[in-house]
Amino acid sequence: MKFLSDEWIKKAKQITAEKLDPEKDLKNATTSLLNIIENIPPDGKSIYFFILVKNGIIEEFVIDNKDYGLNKKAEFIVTGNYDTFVQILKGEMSTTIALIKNRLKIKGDKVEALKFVKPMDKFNGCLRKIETEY
Amino acid sequence: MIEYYPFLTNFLSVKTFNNEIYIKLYLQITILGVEMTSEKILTLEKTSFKGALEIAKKGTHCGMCRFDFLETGLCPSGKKHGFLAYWPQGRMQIFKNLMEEKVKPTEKLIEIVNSCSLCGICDKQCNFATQLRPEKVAKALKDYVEELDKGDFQNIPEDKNIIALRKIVGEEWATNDPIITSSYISSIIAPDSKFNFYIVMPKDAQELSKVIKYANSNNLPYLPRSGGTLLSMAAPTVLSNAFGLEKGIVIDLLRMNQLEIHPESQTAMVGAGITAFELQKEAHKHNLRANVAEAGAHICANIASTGILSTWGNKYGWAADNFIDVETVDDEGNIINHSDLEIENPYTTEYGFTNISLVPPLIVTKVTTRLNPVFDDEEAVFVPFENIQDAIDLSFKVARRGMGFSNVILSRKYLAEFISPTPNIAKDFEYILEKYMKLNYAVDIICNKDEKKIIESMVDYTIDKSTLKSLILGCPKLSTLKDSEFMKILSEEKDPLKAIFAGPMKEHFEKALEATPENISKIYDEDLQDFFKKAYSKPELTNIIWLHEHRIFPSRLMRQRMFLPMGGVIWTEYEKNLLDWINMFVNVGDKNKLIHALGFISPFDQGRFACLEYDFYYDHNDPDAKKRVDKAIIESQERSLQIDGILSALNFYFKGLYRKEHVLFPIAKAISDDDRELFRELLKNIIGGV
Repeated sequence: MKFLSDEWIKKAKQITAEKLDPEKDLKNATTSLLNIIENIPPDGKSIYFFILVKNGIIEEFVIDNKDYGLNKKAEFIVTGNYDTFVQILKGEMSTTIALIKNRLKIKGDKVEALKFVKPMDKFNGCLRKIETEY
Repeated sequence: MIEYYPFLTNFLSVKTFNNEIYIKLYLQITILGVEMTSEKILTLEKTSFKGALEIAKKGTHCGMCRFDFLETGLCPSGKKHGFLAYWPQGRMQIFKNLMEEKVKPTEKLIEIVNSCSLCGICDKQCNFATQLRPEKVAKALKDYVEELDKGDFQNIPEDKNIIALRKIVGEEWATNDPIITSSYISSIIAPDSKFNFYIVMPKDAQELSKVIKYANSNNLPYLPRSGGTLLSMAAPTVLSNAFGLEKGIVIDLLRMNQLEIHPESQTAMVGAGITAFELQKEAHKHNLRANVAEAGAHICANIASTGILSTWGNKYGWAADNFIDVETVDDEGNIINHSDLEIENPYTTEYGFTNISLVPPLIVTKVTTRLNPVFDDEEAVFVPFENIQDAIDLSFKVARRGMGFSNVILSRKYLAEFISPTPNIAKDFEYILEKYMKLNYAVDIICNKDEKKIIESMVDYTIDKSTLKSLILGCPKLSTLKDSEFMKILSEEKDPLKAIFAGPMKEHFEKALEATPENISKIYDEDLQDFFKKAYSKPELTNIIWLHEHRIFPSRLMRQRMFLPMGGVIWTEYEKNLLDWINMFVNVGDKNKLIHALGFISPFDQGRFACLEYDFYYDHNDPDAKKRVDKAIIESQERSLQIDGILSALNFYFKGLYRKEHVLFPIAKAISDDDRELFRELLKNIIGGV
């Protein structure tokens, strides 16, 4: 299914809710993250991807593909190009590499963000299981 | 403008003699529109692709073939075409790629081959630094092309990206040709990458801005490249993915070659394509000196990457101390000068061990750098030591008193590698320094004559100018004295250093070295001996101050094998931890069975801090050695963070545009166990599981 299509979003919510273990995978983390995916082909629009996790349970998972953005306050805001997110989701690049190469920009406490990298890798690994057409 | 006619069209006669083919050709050269005809006999040995491949594999992208440090002139092909593929180092990489079947010939390869006139400049330059003969590779590449059929060359069509990029930078300055792309392997492109790259050479910030805007809107990653040495050091290791580019646009900044010296303000306007050597040479014409690191380092990139860490840092500064203003392009394509009033504070950065960035925060396209006056009474003081603590005491004491322009503790290994013209001589030289002379460290200071007197009064003896000159020119002879009676007698002296540098043996020693340009030239291949005799006859090559300023010797650290510099910065208040830090590197090097040695320790900021470089040496063609280096990188990084008062190399890279105070303050403390765990995780993510 097409990456970030309504169908894909629905599947992503379902698979992350089913497969991620709050303790083992998400380390009982409590945090919120807003990803801003920029320059999505073909028209270069942005998509807003918000996750709220409480004690390792995903309480909110919102993807907004309208061009006005999300009115969500997050502990971390991560911005990057569409291709960078695709590389991460495909497992071609780690989130950390993307950060140190400035492919992703992060607003928020870096030490805290890095603590969340491992759970996010699990989250991305889960999304990787969706057969996706990029 | 010099245009060389295609090599293969100029044959007049061919004959065979002693299994060698002599080709007599008339090379037609057009200089400024005037046709000249010169006769040149080229010896085309029965080409050994195997031999050429051996040479190519030993290349380390030191970049010494891209600026004129021996007054040979520059490679005409590289100068004209710009792309790495047209320079000797690029040809070596291309030949290696073709032999290893990483890339297939394209029509561009014919042009690349024909652009080389086999003038031999590269052999002189490369031989000085690495003892390699790149011209043999260039010849082999010509032979290889000659053997191919017309149908063997791929035609590479334009795609929409290359059309757009060419509109920005001009037809000839953007390419998607895999042969040209492949020349950038190991100096920005990871060796195992596919060739989905574009190479662009913008001429200024405006063009660069457009390239970045295009890249962003088309989801193309990009990375700038200048000299490429830092990237080439990282390329064979686990750092490759973190430092290099996996696809997208390589932005080669070589065309930005603006260089203006402004003596009245003691500044220079330097474009991103200008090397340290080129700036220093021009500055010197005005009796001025730039703060520079290695000769081949490009000033703009060097500022952005490591803030120009040089031996002159105690006097001239580090990071933002180096410049009055910089012109930069940010990752959205905005052109920003540090002097712009409306921008956010560009001099500050986040503090802490998690602040790791392995790309420049901004691409520096131009810098207005400070220059410093050169004084008539400058002198070099060289103080030899057996013990490192004694060397540290002297160097730091001198630095804290604000004395000296350049101040560094050089290790035995560095001295031997810098001075020796071949790896074997370096090995023997180092052995002699260690076993017989007990010279393990040298405090090496450039200062004025009054300071020299003070420093001399602080020590028992120094190595004087005439002995240093003798060591440079006489090192081949010295290496032959390895098992001599002279050395055995010397080693039995109570203080061999004093005996040889300030005692009765000094005169005999200097005489025994037979230090003449003629003698040192004999270690070179026969056809290069005349050239090197003349080169070593120039006063610069034995002038210690000139050598410190122009830094042409350090490239020898990369001869035929790679080294990975580790280390970082230590607060000298934590001087007691310095030896622990060095010992940690020693243990890590031993554990991983690497050749390893202290490089240098240099104080800066009036002796408040010191920069340390510790090097792991390895064969970049040996997969097992690479694995061991990988382990050493990870372990030494982690253990560096467990020592108070240290900022390790990984936290140091790409901070050069900031004020040093923001990078270095407050004093770094050893990280907690929790943070250590986090850092380990971070490293694992950056460089993968090793």
